[in-house]
Amino acid sequence: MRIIQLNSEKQLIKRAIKGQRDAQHKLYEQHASKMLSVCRYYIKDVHQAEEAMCNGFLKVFTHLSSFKSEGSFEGWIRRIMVRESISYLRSVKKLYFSDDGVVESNESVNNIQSGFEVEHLQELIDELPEGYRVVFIMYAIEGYKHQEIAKELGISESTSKSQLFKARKQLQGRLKELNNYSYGTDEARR
Amino acid sequence: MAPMKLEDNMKDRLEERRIAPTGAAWDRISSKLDNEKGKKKSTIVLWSAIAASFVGGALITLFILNNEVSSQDVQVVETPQVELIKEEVIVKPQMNETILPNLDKVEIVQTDIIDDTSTLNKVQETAARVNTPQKKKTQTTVAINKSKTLQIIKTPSVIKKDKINETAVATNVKSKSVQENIIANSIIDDKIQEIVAKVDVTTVTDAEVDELLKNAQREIISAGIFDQNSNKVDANALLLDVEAQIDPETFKDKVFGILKEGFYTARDAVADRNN
Repeated sequence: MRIIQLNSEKQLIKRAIKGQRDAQHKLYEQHASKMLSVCRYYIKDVHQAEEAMCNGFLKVFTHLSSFKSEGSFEGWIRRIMVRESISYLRSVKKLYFSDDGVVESNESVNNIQSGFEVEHLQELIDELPEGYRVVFIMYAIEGYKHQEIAKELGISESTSKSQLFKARKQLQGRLKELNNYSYGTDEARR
Repeated sequence: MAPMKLEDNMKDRLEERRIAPTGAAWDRISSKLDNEKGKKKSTIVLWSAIAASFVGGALITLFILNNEVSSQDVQVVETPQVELIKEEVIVKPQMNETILPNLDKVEIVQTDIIDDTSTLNKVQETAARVNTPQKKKTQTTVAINKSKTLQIIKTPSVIKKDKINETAVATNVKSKSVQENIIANSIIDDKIQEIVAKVDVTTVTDAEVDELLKNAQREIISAGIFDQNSNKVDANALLLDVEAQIDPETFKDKVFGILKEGFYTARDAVADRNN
């Protein structure tokens, strides 16, 4: 016997396209907390991140008919949230990419030991300048390629690579400081 | 503890994170969606009004073009510059002058412009194409023969005779334009006399007079339209005749009425949108 799930995502999307507010609300409830976290990657202030998330959902529901079911619905919403966050940063004129063309190394910071909590990780990311932060998050967290990052931000691929390098360099330095501080403290205890 | 790869660690930890939005977030989204819905409706109404205006304008243009085309279907004929006018007019001769011999082949016609009188003056003034600026007696002599040729002769008293058996030819034959004017005047005078003869001026009303004058005007115009000798139609004269038949006020009123309706429709749609 085939069980029809009235609240399955496809059914909700169809009803939301027709403008049924309860279906839209259900979709919002399913994805809002995740999307606010995504916007928070890029925007330091959680209230401003929430504003960007609301604008993102407005675009989701007004352009829902353009979703072709080619990929996941969550992935489609996430791309809208990323664009909306970048758009917000542009609107407050915080997004700036310095391009000195120097890319000495693109060594990942993966070789650094880290047991940090997520709040500490977010704080490390927040310490980065906006240009470094956006490129780092899009590459390391979201999984964008440099070509896609360049197209999205309106910069060159070389600029994207140099921004990533600088972000990693700064993170490495910061993590070493934190590791040295914690080692030193441990040593002092002994 | 095995060293954890920082970037992978960051990705995993951040992906697991959830941040609950405030309760007012959905209310903001909902109100914005309602505003978008209203904007869409008014946009649809506005575009519908614009489309209706375009369609109305196109229909009016087609209507006007069709009317212009139908009026241009008249065959345009160029009348020759110099031409002998052929006409037979029979009037009572009143002038004393040398008359050509062979009167059986020639008919002499004389027309006089009538002096002013109180009742006939009005008729003269309202008749179309009456060109009688000078209220003096002139004498116009028209010599016709039965072979259907006619020449206008301005009278001195002597008339030379060349071809006695066929055509009466005289000196002082004027150019065609003067000849036409004289012929037209003679026709108009004849018409006036006909009308006067038909109408009892003491009892007729102004409306009846206007009606008779209209008919006379039409006949005069019609006489000028078709040239029987060459079987050709004068385009300008025909156009004037057609325009006289169409009531221009009604046609104009129709066109302006349609334009007015379209304008009011577009204006109301824009006003509703703004509200």
